[in-house]
Amino acid sequence: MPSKFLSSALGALVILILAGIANTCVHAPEPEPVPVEEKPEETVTAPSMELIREPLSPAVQSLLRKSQAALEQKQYQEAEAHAERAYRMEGHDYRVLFMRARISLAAGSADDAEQWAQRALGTLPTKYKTHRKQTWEFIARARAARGDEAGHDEALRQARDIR
Amino acid sequence: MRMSVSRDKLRFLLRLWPVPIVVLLAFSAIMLYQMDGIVREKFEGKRWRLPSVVYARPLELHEGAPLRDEDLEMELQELSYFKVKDPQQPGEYSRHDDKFEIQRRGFPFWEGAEGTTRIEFRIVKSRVTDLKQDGKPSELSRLDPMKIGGIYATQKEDRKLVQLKQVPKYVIDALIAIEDREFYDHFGVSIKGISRAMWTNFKARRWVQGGSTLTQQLVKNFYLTPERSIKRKFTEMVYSVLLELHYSKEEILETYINEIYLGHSGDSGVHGFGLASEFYFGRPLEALSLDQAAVLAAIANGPSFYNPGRYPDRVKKRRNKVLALLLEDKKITKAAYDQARRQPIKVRPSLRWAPNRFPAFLDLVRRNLDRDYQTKDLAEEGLRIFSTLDPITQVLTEKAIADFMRRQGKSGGKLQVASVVVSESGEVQGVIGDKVAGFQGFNRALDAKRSIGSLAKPVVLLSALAEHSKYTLATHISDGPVSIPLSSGQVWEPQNIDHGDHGNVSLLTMLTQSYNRATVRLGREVGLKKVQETFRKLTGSTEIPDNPSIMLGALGMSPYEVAGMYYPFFSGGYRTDLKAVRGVQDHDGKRIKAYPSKVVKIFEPSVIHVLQYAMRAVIFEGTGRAAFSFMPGDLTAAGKTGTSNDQRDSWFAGFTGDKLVVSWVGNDANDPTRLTGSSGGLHVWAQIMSKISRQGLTLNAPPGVQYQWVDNATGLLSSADCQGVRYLPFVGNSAPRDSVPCPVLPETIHPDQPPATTGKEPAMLDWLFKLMQ
Repeated sequence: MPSKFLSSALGALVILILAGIANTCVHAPEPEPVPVEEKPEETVTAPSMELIREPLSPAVQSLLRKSQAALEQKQYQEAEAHAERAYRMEGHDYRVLFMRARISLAAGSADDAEQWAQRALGTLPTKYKTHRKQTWEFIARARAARGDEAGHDEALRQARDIR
Repeated sequence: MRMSVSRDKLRFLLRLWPVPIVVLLAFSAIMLYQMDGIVREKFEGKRWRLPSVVYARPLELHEGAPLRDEDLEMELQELSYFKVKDPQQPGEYSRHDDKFEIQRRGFPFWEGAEGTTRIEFRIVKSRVTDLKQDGKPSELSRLDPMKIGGIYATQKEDRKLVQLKQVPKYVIDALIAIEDREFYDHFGVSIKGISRAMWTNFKARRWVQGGSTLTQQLVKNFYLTPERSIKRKFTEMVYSVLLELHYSKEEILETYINEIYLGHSGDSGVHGFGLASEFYFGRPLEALSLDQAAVLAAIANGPSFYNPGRYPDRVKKRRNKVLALLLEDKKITKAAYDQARRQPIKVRPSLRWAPNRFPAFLDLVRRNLDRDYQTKDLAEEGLRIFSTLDPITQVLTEKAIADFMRRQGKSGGKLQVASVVVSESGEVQGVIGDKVAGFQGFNRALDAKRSIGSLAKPVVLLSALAEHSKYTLATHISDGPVSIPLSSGQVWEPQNIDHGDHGNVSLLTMLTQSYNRATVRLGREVGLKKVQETFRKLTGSTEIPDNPSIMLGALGMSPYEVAGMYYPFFSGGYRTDLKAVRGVQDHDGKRIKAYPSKVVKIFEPSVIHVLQYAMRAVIFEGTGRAAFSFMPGDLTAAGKTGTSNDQRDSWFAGFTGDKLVVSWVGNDANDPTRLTGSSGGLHVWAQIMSKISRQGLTLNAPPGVQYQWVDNATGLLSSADCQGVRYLPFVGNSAPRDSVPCPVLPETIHPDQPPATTGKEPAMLDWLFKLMQ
């Protein structure tokens, strides 16, 4: 205790002697605020992917499962991150592209949702008629979500025409 | 009387003796107050400007992933993994024949943080197989990503912040033992330490020891300039005492551990134990062994003098001194001391991170981020930027360009090369801005806007094919003289490169043989406005010149812009903004901005499929044939050559199943190069593709496309068993209705067929294609 008191006293004395001799000023700049993404709402269901028999790597399947789980929890950024990783590995598979469409619609981006769904349709073999139909119905919903009534009706007509 | 006055004055003055002391004390108090403000403001505010760190993509590992063993080893070495017999520590790996075992370090990946893990797999026929993670079969794993650069303020300082609780005790003990044994007992300045240092220096008759405490060292680095003066020394002492008065020893120590300068990498300073641990040993601070901790403590005294890469013996001597002090202070056992002392000084093979080793790519990253971030944020907020760079692709592309330049010999002196590599998902995986890898000057890939020549022809053809009821690949058009009046009053009369007239040619041949006159005639028929509109859709740019010469590529574009324009050809009709950044995290690993891929359909996939067929034919039988001098025969691809006027620019842009590459060869003075698209850009392109592409182009016809056998000479329907026919794709019902009887064979080679492939070869390819379908 006495040594601590002695140290403090000595410190104070040193300060008083030296303080008048020197001064320097350094300023740290203030950080700018960094943009943060907003979290949208709403989720959507999908046509059954199990019925598609085209081969898909286990790695991509695993990522799609994670993406689906996050989508169900309405964690859209999380869902998108996993789907994006799957997309990088397999950019030509209906299941990957349609997952991206679903996430976009759930996240409130109807334009993107339609684009992904259109692209998904382009990769889907013609034999999967149910999926084609459901994808057109999905496109109809996306168009309705952005207020395109004529486009919505046209997409439903496309869905009906698939037999 | 006079004597009495003088005495009174003196007495009066003597009575004033306390005044100067009071003034001095008041002055000192004011100064002290001011200095106290400075000390607290900086220590309690943002302590450091943290540069943003740019990472490459993490290498994905999954069953069947294409990966060559030499590429993996290159990546591991760049990531500073140590090759050992039996990897136990994070940052170590082993290779036994085709089997790899990697102790991967933990990392806050974009999708979520992952801890240290043991990854095992084999590479068989350049594919990953038998993947395991922590001993269990795994579907997917990945390596931590390579740090490829930083975005700095004016002074390049790199550091990785650590909390005191993350720092192993023996690291702290080692530091205190060698630098300031009375750290926990002094008040910022050690009278004992100063006296001891003075005595030692006096005995040695030279400067051998400094008496600075850790607090003083921190003050010197943190608040003051490196200036050596009495004034600065006094300031340092005052600040040190003030620091000790306000803050705990732990706070001061933590700041010291993050602030201390511990070396240099390229032109960037390595600051703090957290970063130094990764820099010297390739592992996080928490994973350092005792001997390594002692090395870091040894370096702290003078990173240049005690550079472990350059002076291992000198460092070993000081490290052993640190260990001896630890033993003397009973901080370690004798056994630990002996064991640590036996270790050699082993640091990363190349003590250089070469920040901004890929400057052309980093330039693109910065431009991508400039839209969303202020320069100040990028240089000071310690953001983690997850880029799309594939270091393997980038390095192989650099090698391909070096090979090309070597082949040019002396004639290549003035030549320059630029290239851009894009993945299927629209991510930029490599950028070459100069023939010399790592060159930090003019970035030709982004900034050299050069005439694109015949790269424009697919755009003209696409404008026509979009009117599929009117134009198909079988449509014939004259390659005869064509003249177009210009708004200036002049008349434009384009010529073919061979100055010949090839008669009536199909649109397919027009593209494969790159006939100028047929292309301009087609563009005139379709209409300049429509061609301009196609350019606009493909590039996203509104500044397309209102001039018919754009049909032959008289518009300046950079290789990067060409890559964007060709991406819809590659993707099947979808445009995307090519991206170099996947996302940005803040310094604590929180996601703050994602850059997900977005696509916009600008052309029907069926129309693009027909165009892809024609661009594939360019490589099989047209001006791109030379590609197979460099590429394996099974690596199918599609693309287009481009040569500007007087052979000033030589281009090739094309794609396989997994990569889109654009290559430009020319010179900065815009002088003729004596290279055409077929001999310059194509050679570079093919050499790059042969090294980086693992998947050939497969043309799967989308809905709405039907194939028909067509007679080459007439463009009418024919049948498979005729000669001089080919199997062509048509959109919807656009195939010709009329047919010609078989055989219709021209007596001489028809101009529609190039000499080397007349008749049979395309038909054989088409047979194969039909079989595959």
